[in-house]
Parts: sequence; structure tokens; C-alpha cells
Amino acid sequence: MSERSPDHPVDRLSPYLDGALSGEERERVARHLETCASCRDHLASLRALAAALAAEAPPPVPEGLAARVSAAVAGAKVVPMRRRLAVPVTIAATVAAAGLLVAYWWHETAPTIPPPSGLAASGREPAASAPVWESAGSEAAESERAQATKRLKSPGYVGGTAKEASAPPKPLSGDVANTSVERRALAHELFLKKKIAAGELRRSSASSTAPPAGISDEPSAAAPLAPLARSSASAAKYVPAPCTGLKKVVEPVATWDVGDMQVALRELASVAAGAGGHGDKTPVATGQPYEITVPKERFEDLRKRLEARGVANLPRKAPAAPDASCLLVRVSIRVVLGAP
Amino acid sequence: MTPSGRGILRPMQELDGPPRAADDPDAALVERARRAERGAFDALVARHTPRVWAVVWRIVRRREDAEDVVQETFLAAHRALGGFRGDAAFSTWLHRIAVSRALNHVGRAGERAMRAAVPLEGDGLEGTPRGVRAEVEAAAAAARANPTPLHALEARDLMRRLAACLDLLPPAWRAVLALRDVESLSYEEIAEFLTIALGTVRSRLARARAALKDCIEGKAA
Repeated sequence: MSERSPDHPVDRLSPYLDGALSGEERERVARHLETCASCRDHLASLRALAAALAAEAPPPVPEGLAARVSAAVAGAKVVPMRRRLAVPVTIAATVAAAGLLVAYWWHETAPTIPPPSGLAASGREPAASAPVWESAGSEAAESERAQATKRLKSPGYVGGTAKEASAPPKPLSGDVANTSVERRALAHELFLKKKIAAGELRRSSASSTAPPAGISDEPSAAAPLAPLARSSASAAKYVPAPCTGLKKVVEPVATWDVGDMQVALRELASVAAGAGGHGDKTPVATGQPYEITVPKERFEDLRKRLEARGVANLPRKAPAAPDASCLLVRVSIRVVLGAP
Repeated sequence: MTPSGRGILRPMQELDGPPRAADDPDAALVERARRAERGAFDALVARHTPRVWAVVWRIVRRREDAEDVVQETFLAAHRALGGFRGDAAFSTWLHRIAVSRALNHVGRAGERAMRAAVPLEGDGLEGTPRGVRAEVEAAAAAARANPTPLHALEARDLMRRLAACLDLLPPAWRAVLALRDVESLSYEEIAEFLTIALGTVRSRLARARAALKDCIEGKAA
């Protein structure tokens, strides 16, 4: 470490460089610098360091990153429910393309039920309560997504190679799991749309049209799922949640007073998993709630588990949400001294 | 506030306007995205991916991790868009999510460093992520073998040592360095960004710079 004698205001040189010292302190440092070559050298080094940091260019944005992100967002389909309902039904009906409806239906019913019969390329009139798909995009967005799917399918990205399969297991996080679900959902959606466009998905053949290996949503298809997961460990641990469909946000936000944020986060993740859902890894920022997504029918189970842990202000019952297959329960964590 | 526009800095404010909500260049797109208009969020993604990538990479410093964090950032932003009130510019809000996600991503190493319990007298590298690349260690060793005052280093040598030493720093320290020296945020803004006290910003920056300087000069690893 550098010399830090009380005679040399070394620790104040950093805020001095930033102009973050008070007038008096600043004067004192400036006076010292006039007579101290060692501190001038130190300051020169800090200045060079700041310049070097600013000059260090990050690697170029990976090719197709924005497209992959857009695809993931489209696959996530988590537009806040109130927004979705606020959009006029007429627009909803126009925007929701037939292919997307099929994909939606598939997500809602997968993995237990085969695709619906009776949905031909022309599609049918969307229901009045049809959700708005923010992903129903322009041609440009479409091709961008197709490109993204291509990349998703490439071994380098999804880890379909033998090398990656044998890679050391990475700890499974909720986010990683979410991401692979979203990728699968997107890939399947595109697969179905392609089929519909090609006129392949019709009444007679619909139920027998299996998605290609690697993008199946079926939990029984262990082999196709494995390449999509980040590692064999995550493939083994992660049971595909059906919650890739629409979510309904449950009011109100529950509150939980805890002694340790990290312990609380781990606990919530385990509660979410226990109830057959999944949780965000951590809140986005302080004061934002932890979000748990559960299948609608598991809400009561989740509620009991949370209640048992002393979570307060829990929603009493699941809201009526005919469009949604999943519920989004939020728990605001407050770190309180002396709390368990 | 600190004076902006210094030569060594690349103020983010100058790149796309001041982060004020009133004249937020993204306002129209954000509003359309909030109405779930098609393509609007995609446009925001396309517009902001380079900057989000840059700040995330500077904290995470691993390409594949950075890609994941960028994706998480936009997913989180998309989820939270309904609650975005426009108090800050969209870019600032998004940036905050990105920094927070990046620090979350680096996990406990980041958390430990966030608590700023690392003593100045220590080697300054407690909480460093495991699995630091061999070439980084080699570069740091080379720096140690040839101690040189930082301001006397050749530019290329400096940049090589800088990269190696940054990889060794706790991510939370990389975050303050990125926000201050690259994004040119004021101490107040950094405090708000990272939800830490103003004094912590000052001390953490001083520690991060001291550790980085010592590492580059070959005085400590």
C-alpha cells in the first residue's frame, strides 16, 4: 500500500480528484500538493488511472444480443395484467395473431394436453378476452426473433454439445431456470408459428405434430430438455414449471420482517419451489418486492407456507383470473434489527 | 455535484442528454411500451443494449455472465415497466437495474464487498470471485515483478495491467469505479444508485482506487 502518513493526505486525493472535498479541505490538500512531490505523483497516478478506466473499452456487444433479449422478453410475456386489460378489446383482437393464440393455448395447457385440433392456418376469431401479445411484431421483429431462435438452437448458446453437457455444474438460480423456460417457450412458439405458416398444423395432424427435439415443453422428454439447461445439474434439479403463460399479479404486496436479507431470500426461493413455483433471485432494488410465480392452483399452498414463516399482509385468496395460469405473489422484505 | 465535461471522463449525460425525466428521449417509446404496443420495447432494447452491456461488463467482466445479466436487466425492466413513473429518465432507471442485477449476479463476493468491510490495510481483494483466469494471475505477477509508478507506465502496459487488476477487484468496487470514472456520475448519484451512504461512496472509491493503483504498480496483488 502507499505511504499513508498523517502528513500526506493520500486518502483525500481520490475525492480531491473528483472535486468532492469541502472548500476548506480542498484548500488544505491543494496547499500540500504545492510542496509535496510524492503526493503530486500519487495524484498523477490516480488521474492516469481514472483516464485509463474511462479509456478501457468493453468487448463489443455480442452479435445478436439485442435480438436475443427481445426474444426472451417476448417469451416471458409478463406484461403487467392491468396494462393488458387496459388495452381495448378491439386492438387485442387485431393484434393477437392466430399463431400466437395457438402458442398461448399450448403454453396454458402444456405439458399434459396435446395441441388443439381445429386450428387451421387461417386461425379462428380470437376470444374477446384475448390477451394482448406485445410480441406480435412486425416483419422485422419477426425475422429478428427467428434469427434469435437460430442462435438459441446453436450449441454455443444453449449448451447442446457434449463438451458443455460435461461442463462442471453451475449452481441453479431461479433466473437461470426462468431464462431456459423462456427460451423454450419462445422456441416452441416460433416452431408452432412456422408450422402454421407452412400449413402443417391442421385438425388431423395437430395432435401428432411433435415439437422438434430440443425445444419441447414436455417434462417427460428428459433428453430434449437437457441440452437447453445450463448444465446437467440444473436439468436434473429443475422441474419445468408450467408458469410460462400469463400471470396475474396478486394484491396486496405481503410484507416480511427479517433479520437477514440473504437468509430471507434463500427461504423465499425454497418456499416458492416447495409450492411448485419459482422466485426471482433477489429484488431488483431495495424496497422492491420479491416475486414468486406459482401455478394458480398452488396459490393456497404457497399462502400457507408463507404464513407459517410469519409473512404478513398476505392476500387472502387467489384473484379470479380466467386468462392467467399463474399468479405473481409479491413479498416486500424489510430488514429489521432483532427480527428472526 | 462534480464538474462535468472533464477531459478524462466520458459523461453519460453528454451522450444522450441529461437524465431528466421531463425531456427523456425515451419517454414516447416507454409510453408505447407501457401500452404494450408492439415493437416499442424491442426498440428500447435495441437502443439501450450497448450501454447496458458496457456497464454490466465492467462489473461482471465475463462475457457470458454479462450476456445473462443484460437479458435479466431487460426482463426485469419489462416486468417493472408498469411501475415506472418517469421520476428519473428511463436510461437512468434501466442503468440502475443493470448495476443492481450485475452485483446480484456476482453473488456473495459482491455482497461481502458491498458491506465495505474490507480493510484498507488488507490485500484489498477479499471477496474476489474464485476461478480468476490464469492469464490474469500471470499479468498481476508480471506487474509485481516489475514495479512501476502507474503514471510512468506505457499506455499499452498500463491497459494490460489495468485489465488484469480489475478482474481481481471485488465487483462492488468495480461498480463504483465504473459509475464514477466511466459514467461520470456524481458521488450523490452513485450513493442513490447503489443505495449506500455518501461517505461510503467516497471511502469505497478511495479504497478501490488505492487497491487498483497498488495492484497495477505491482505493490500488491
